[in-house]
Amino acid sequence: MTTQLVAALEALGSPISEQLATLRYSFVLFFELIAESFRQLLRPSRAPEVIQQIVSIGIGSLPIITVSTAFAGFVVTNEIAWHMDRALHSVTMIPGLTGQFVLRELGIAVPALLLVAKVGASITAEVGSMKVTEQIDALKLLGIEPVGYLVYPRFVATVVASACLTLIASAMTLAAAISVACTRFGFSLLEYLNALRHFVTYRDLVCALTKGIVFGAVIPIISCAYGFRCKGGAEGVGTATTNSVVTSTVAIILLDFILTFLFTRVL
Amino acid sequence: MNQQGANPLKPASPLSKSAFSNEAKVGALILGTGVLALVFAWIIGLHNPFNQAVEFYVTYNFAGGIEVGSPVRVSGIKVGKVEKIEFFVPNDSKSVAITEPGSDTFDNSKALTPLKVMISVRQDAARGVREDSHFYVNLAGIIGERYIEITPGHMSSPQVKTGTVLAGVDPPRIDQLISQSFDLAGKIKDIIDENKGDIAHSIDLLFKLSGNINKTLDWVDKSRLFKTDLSKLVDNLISITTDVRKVTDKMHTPEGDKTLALLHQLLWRLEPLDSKAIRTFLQKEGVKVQMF
Repeated sequence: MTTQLVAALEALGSPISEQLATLRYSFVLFFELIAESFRQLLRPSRAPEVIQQIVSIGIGSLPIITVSTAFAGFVVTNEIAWHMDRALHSVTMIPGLTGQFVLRELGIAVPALLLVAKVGASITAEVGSMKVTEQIDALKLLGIEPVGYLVYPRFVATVVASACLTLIASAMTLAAAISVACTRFGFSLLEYLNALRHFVTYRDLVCALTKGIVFGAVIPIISCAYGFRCKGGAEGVGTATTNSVVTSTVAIILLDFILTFLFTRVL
Repeated sequence: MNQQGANPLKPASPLSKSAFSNEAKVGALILGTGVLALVFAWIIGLHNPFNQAVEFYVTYNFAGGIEVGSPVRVSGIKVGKVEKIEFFVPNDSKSVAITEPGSDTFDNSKALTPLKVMISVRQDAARGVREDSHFYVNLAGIIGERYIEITPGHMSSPQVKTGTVLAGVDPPRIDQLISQSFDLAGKIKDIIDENKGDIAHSIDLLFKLSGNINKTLDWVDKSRLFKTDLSKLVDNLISITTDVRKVTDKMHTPEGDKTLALLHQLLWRLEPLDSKAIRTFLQKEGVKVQMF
């Protein structure tokens, strides 16, 4: 009876303790990355890998992010207009509300979550496969630092790509919002832009870029952490990939809340 | 097809994959993002390279909630915005704000100017902004934002140029008005407290007076004398005024005017007549009478 109870408690606590251990390792990885960044500043040697990763992560994700955020823009504008019409019987504030919402939330969260699904899973699977096939151990034997070789290029590339993709996604979403406002609600382009200017300020732009950079930093760290701690063969790689996507998604949503609070109440 | 598999009849496209290295792609991504950032900056009004504006300064003692980015309007149309606000700048001859709204008195005794606001106005609208223009701080609607309203000056006054420093008109301070209202209410309360007895006595007298007037009116209302004689009097007055009206209407006709003219002539002829003139006439006629 006692052993069964202990076994049940272990079954409950084991995955949670594993997740917490991985999160703790993520922080360790973050500080190792900072150390590697200083090393690279003194002796840059990973530029080709960084560029390769930017192409793969940034330009490779461009089509899906562009299409998804455009449709998100269509949906959001229609929804906001419908709600405003019901509540205020007026749609004059569509430009301001959509502009702020896109720059503060939609144009950042949607690309970030898409990057988690595409890039985060890919990084975890790649690093996890290397881990279970002992390639990482081989790198260590060859004197190549795994963090510098595997994590640093992906980290820099994801940060740069995320910042660029955030702006591109925001522009795409706004363009979609403008097209809906002009075709369905009778706005002209100049009217929309003029109304947008009354609401959107440089703070919204700074908020968008800051969130993009922070989310871009979180995704590779968590993905690589799960990859480095992967075990159990192909099944383990699959589990690690799933867990890294879930954890990255939750982390992004939590960070979004914190940054939104900072930019609306504190800054 | 040659041995390597490439078709010699089909030239290689300059846009083939191998033409774009990874560095070129990254460069294109960064460049595209930079251009987008500039477009966003232009959209939100942060920076407009095509805009030509005149930037000058307006000073205030109290700006009533104006912020950097607040709109500037000329004759009600937005033509610019507040670019910068400086505090406690050194004084110069024109820099101190007009302290009384509507007053032209400059108080030059202060050593520092509390607020110096830099505003930018579009080139085309700046033509109407003169050195004698007034710069008011207005509120757009009941819960709207604060903005600076510029009234166009006289054409004889010089046009404002970049760097000019002008005095603004301080908006009324609601907090001061409320404070003064409190003081006034306090003084009224003191007056009432000091004269409580007299005021109560006056109110008693007023009550009694209104009571007496009520009684008098009741008596008049019930009195037959007033009812009958008063109504007859009123009827007579009505008929008299009707007759007088008819007479005056007739007098305003051409015949009436002629009659009045003849009467006027007759009276002027009769005016020099007196006893001596009548006696002289009768003597001429040979009539002896005892007159006057």
